[in-house]
Amino acid sequence: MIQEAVVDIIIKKSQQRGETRSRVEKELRKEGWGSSLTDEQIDKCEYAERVIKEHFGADKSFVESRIIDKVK
Amino acid sequence: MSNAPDLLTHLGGVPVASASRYAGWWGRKHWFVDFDNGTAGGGQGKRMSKPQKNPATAISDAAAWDVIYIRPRTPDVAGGDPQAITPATAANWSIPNTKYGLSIIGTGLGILPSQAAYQTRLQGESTVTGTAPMTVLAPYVCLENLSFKRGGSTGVPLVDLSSVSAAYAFASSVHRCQFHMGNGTGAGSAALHIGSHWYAAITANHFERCGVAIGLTSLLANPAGVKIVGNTFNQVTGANYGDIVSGATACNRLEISDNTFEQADPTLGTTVYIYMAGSANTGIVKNNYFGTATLVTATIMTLGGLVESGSKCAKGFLTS
Repeated sequence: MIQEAVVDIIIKKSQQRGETRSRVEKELRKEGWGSSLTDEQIDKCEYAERVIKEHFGADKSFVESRIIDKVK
Repeated sequence: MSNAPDLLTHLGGVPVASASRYAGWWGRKHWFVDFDNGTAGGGQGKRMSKPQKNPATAISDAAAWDVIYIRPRTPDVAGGDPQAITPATAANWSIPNTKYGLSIIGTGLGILPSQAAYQTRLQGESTVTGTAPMTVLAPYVCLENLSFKRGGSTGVPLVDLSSVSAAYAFASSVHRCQFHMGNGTGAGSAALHIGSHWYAAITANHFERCGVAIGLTSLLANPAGVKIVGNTFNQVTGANYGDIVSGATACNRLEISDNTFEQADPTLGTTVYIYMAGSANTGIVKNNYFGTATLVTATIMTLGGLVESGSKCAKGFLTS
């Protein structure tokens, strides 16, 4: 367990702060750019993004490592 | 999920390092670099379909918390060294303090030399000497899925997590990168140098035939809270001066865990896998694997105050 960490996230493409990592990853693959995450990592990212959005809303949210730790 | 080795500081390759707030993994704007197909010039690379050619221009165009994706080059099929991305001008890459939170992410998952066709390989400029191919002077920076190689510089780091006075850098992550044949032989010239860069997270990287793989120094202050987790070290007997070498006055709260040291105990320089200068270091060395039959901890590590716990060699757990 790491110490409490907090991260900013970006949920919607239309927002100024950009896209989620999982969404960009899918675009990379679709456009033939390769990949920067494994399939398993994408699943984990999507889960975390969804949980974070539900907990904290869609824009400029934060997550503590205790939530990250719930990702299986 | 945030436990070592894979995800101590990452959420699936995404850093959630020990910063109080960390935006680097989702980032702000995205920039796309394709050395073989991109267009040089400022402002390029805002879309995958119109990529930038040069990483340095992308770094210049990017703002704090932006993300730069770099595509691997077209694989070399003629033999010799794999094709690398090199700087467009006689200057190696540097991330200044104003670009805090910048992420540079390769879009190939290859990490070993055998996977060279699937990795973004960054090589220093051929005429530049004295500086690392990549210097990081900003906090919260993330380097991920990249392979670093020397250019004209020898005896300097491949990646320098450094700091400048009055604008200290800290809490950067280096994840799933390859460090290829860095030939520095001391802490300050290690393939990955951590100079006063507090809370650096060095996870899941591969160090290939380096003189010293990771070095820590007290450039402006003693390194603190550095985590070196889940890395592999594959060095060459007769050219290895120590895998993790600290020349710092003291390292505070250092963690070295779940690493694999594939080669024999170094015979040059420090003559140990892990060398900590002085006696005032604090932290832990745990659950590492060493490619030696030597069971005695003090024979293969100079811990300088660190505590060893649960590490193994070829014959079992180390003994004190």
